[in-house]
Amino acid sequence: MNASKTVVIIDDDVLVLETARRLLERDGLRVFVYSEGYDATNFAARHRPDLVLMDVNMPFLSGDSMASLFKRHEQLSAVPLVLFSSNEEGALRRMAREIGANGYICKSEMGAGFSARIMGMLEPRDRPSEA
Amino acid sequence: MDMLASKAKQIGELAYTRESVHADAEVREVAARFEQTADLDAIAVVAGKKDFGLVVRSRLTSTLGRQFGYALYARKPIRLLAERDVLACDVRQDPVQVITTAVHREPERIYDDIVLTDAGGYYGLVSMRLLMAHSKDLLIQSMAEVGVLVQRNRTLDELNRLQGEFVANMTHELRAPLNTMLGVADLLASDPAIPEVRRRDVRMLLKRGRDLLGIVNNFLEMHRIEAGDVEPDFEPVEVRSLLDDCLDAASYLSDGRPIDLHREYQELPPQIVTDPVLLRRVLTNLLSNAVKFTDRGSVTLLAHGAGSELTIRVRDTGLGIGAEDLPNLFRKFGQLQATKTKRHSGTGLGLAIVKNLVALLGGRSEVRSEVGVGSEFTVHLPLSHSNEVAK
Repeated sequence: MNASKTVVIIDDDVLVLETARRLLERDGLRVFVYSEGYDATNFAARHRPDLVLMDVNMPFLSGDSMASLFKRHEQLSAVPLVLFSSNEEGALRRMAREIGANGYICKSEMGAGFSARIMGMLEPRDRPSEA
Repeated sequence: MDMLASKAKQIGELAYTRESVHADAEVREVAARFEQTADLDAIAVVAGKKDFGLVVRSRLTSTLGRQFGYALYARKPIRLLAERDVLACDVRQDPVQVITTAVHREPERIYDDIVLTDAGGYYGLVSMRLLMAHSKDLLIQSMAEVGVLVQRNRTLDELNRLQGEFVANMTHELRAPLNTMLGVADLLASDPAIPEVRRRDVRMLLKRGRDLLGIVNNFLEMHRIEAGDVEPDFEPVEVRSLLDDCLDAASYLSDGRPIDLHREYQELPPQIVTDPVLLRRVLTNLLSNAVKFTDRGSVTLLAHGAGSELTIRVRDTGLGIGAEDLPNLFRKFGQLQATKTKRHSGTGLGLAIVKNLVALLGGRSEVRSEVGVGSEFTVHLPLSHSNEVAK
């Protein structure tokens, strides 16, 4: 069902990129990896991926400035942005909310349910959470 | 006036001044009074019958000595500079007791005068400086002891802080490579090109790796709690799905042991206002403990709403905890001696974390247990926080 979905991963740690890429490809996603933000932003603006997974602690262009760039950019503002970090979860959640990201994933989930989480985020949200 | 504390029966006998100024007196008048009376270390500032403070000479001099200090305060009422947090005691109290309290104040405040009260109102002052001069034996001995203890205490605090920071940095650094290793292990464990026997080995690596990550995370979490870095972030949370997620996650930990996982929810409110990250950590810790210490039988997650509270219980049919171990259970590194076996390794931090996080969430935790029968950990959480009401 998600076979044609495209995910862009941005992380300056090549080993993380490679592992995350293979975990998602195993579950049938098309994955493009970038070790810095500029090329990734250009790619995302042209190809409108279904999700961008972005490390928050990157040199040059930090995750939060990237996020605000995304939100202001005409072609990028609709692309779901998910923060990716080994930071402590509470802080990551707060950051995601502050910069208007669509979600967050802790890097510690790479060994447990990582692609399932991403798949969940790619599902169309047709069921609004109603109490 | 006999300044020998040992001879006085009541602290009142040691008063060296009964002077005071009214709270509305101008600061410059008080400054002038200090200049005229060299012996005065402090002056009481009285605003009402039982309403008084203290102006200490050394601190007033330093305030007024700052740039523009005198110009700024000279004509202001002295109440602005009066300290209200003073050591005050009734004139009839035992001198030795009062002086012992006095020398145990913060080091910067040890020399402040003691305020004497009579029927709650201001009576007079006892000078620590004069006591020093005249009752050396008693004081010097106490001061020396306090000085050594204060110094030792500071060194220990500093050491503790450095050690905590070291552990935190260390564990943070451990986490990054561990995350990647676990990701790779997860890939291998599901790789059809690898024979099933070998994949079983990889699953073992994966499991132990996750255990290691859990240990590392607990160390970090404990450090953050102790450093006061954990601040709950309250929001409406759908209880049922959070509980279900935690129970599902725990089901992977049983390693094929015959343990049934049950859930029993009653009158569950659809939402409560809490911090979902912290609550998840609490439940994950309790459930993984329950699974870890249960060889056969069941682990049950119970939840019910009643009044303004949500009660969550994790019940197991595991080893159980002896009465002698219960008091230490929620303490850091308090892993039980009596029931500890090599098979049940752990950091002994899990329950200390649970207790602290539950308190941060505004709730309380408790445990009931019987050796050989099982344990039940209970967490009571408020349904809402501050003015918000979860309906």
